[in-house]
Amino acid sequence: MVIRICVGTGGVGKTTVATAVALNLARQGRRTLVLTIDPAKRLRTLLGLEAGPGEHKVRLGGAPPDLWAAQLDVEYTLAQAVRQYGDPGQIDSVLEHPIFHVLISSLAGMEELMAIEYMDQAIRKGFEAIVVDTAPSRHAFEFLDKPEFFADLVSFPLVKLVGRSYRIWAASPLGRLGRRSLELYSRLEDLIGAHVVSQVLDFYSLFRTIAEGYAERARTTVERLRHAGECGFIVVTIPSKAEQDSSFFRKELTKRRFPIEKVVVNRCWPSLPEPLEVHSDLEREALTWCRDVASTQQRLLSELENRLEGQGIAAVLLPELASPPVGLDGVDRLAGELRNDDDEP
Amino acid sequence: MSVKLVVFCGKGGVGKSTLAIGASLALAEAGRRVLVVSSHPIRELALSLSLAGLEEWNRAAASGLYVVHIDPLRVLASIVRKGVHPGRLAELLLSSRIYRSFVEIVPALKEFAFLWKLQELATEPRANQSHPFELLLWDAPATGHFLETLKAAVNFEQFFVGPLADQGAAISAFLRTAVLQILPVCVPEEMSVDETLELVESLRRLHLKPSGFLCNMVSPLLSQQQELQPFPESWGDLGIFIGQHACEERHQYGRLRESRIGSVMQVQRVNREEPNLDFLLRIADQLRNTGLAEMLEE
Repeated sequence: MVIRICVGTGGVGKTTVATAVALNLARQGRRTLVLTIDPAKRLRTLLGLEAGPGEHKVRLGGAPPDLWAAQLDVEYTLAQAVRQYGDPGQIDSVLEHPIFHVLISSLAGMEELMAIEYMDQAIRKGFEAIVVDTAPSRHAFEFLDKPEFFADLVSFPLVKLVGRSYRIWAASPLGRLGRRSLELYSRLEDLIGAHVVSQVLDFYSLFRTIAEGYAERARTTVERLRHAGECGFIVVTIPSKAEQDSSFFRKELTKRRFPIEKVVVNRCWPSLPEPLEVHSDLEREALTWCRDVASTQQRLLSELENRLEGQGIAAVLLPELASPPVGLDGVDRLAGELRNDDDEP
Repeated sequence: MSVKLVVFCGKGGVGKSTLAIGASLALAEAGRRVLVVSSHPIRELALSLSLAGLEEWNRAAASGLYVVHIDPLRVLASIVRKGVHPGRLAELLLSSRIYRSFVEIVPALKEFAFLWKLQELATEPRANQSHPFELLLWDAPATGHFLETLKAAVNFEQFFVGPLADQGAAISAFLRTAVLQILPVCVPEEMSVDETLELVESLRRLHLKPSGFLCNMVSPLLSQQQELQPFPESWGDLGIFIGQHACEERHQYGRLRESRIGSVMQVQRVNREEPNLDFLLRIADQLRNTGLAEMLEE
C-alpha cells in the first residue's frame, strides 16, 4: 500500500500535483486512486471526468495505467456508511432524521470526517495506491484531527451511556425526573432549547453503532498514515508562501508524528537570460515586471532550498505554466519532474 | 448611521486577507472607522501584524482601524457565561464533558457562532461608544466554507426550535437587510474565474448579489490598451511564456466583465519577500485608484 497526502494552503495547485503523483504511481503498475476533498471541481476539469460520486476511470491513450479519480461526496459517503454499518432496522430512521439533514445540508466539518471514511472504503475496494488532495480547510489538519477527536468523543462513558439508553430513558417518567435533577443538563436545555438537546441526543442514540464503527475504522486509518514506509505527506506550496508554509507544515506534521516525503514548490517562474533586446514600452514593461517576479522568487527559493537541505527534506521545484494544465498531457509534464530517481518507469 | 458589511470572499490563495486589510488601510486613511473581522486560524493573521508601524506613519488612520479575529469557541463560551448564573455554574458547565461534546457534535455550530458575533459587531458596535465603526470588512473563509457559513443561519432557523432557531432567524434577517456588499476576489486564471462565476450562482440562490469583483495579482500588461504583439524571437521561451500569460489574463478578465455583475477592479501583483507595512500600503494605494472607496460610499 502506498499513501500520499498532499497538504498546502489554497490556490497552490495541490490537485494538479496530487494527480501527477498518482500518475507516476499508476505507471509503476499500481491500481491507483486520486481522491480530492476539495469542493472546487478542479480534478474533474483537469481530467475531463463526468460528475457523480464514486471512482471514475481516467482514460489514457496507449497502454493505460490503472488510474482512477474520485471527488469526495460527503452525502454519498455518509449514506454509504450508514447502509453498510447501521442496524438494518434503523437505517431509515437515521437517514430521515432532522439532524441528519442538518448534517448533510450544512456539511460544515463533514468533509474532514468523511475523507478518512472514504480512504477506508477505497482500501477495502482493493486500491494499491491512494493519493489524497486535501481541502484548503479552515484548519489545515482538521481532516486528521477531527476523526481522532470524534473517536475519543464516542468513547466517552457519558456519550456511550446516552447513546445506548437515551430513547428508553427519555420516555420513562424516571428519565424526566432524572433530567431535571441534572442541573447542568437542564441549564444547557434552557440555554439552547430543550427540543434541540433531545433531537441531538435522539439522533446520536440512533447513530451510535455507526459512529462507533466509524471511530474504530478512523483510528486504524489515521494510525496507518504514521507509517513512513507506507505513507508520506507532500507539502505543496508556491514561491511567495514557501518559507511560511514549509515551516508551518513541518512543525504540525512532526507534532502529529506524520512523515514528510517532500516539499513541492509549484509555479516557479522562468529565470531571465540577459541581456534582452527591447523595442517598445510595452516590452520594457513586460520585462521589468517579469524580472521583478522572477528575481524575488529566486532569492526566496535559494534560501528555502538551503534550509530544507539542512533538515534532510527533499525539495522539488515545478515551473509556472502560462495556463493551467488541462488533461493528462499537461499533468504528464509535471509528473516527469516529480518522479523520484529510484522510481521505476 | 447604519453599519455597512463588506465581504471579501473567493477561492483560497487569491489574496482575500491582503485585500481586506489593504482596503481597510485605504478607508482608514480617508478618515473612516473600519473594523476587519476574520475567522482564519491565527497563522493567517500574521498579515495584520504587518500593520505594526502604522501609528507612527499615520496616527489618524491607525486610530480608525481595528482588526479582530473571531474564535467561535470563545464566542460560544461567552454566550454561556452571559446566560448561565451564577458564574461558577457557567464555568462548571463550560468545563463539563456534556458541553464539550455538544459543541463538537452539533453540525455547523461554530460557523453559526461566528455569524452571531459578526451580527453583534455590526448591529451594536460597542468597542468604542463615541466612535462606532462605519464599515465592517469580513475577510471570509474560502468559497465552500463561506457558503456553508452563510447557510448555517438558515439551517438553524429551519431545523431547530427554541433560542437557537430564533437566533438563526435573526441572523438570516440581518443578512437579508444589512447594507451588505459582497466583493468576490479572484485572480485572472481559468479556475479562479470559474469558481467566482459559480459563486455568483450560489449567491443568487441565497438571494444575494456581488457588488463587483476584485481581480488581484494582474500584470501591468492588462491595463495596456494596445493589442498584444508577439515578443521578440530572441526572448525565446520567456517571450512565449509572457505572451501566453498576457493572453490568458486578458481572456479571464474579459469573462468577468462579460458577466455584467458589477465593476471589475484590478489590483497588480506586488512582489514582496515578506509582507510588511510598505507592501500593504502599496496594495491600499492601488485599491484607492480602483474606485473601491467610492463604491463603498454608495
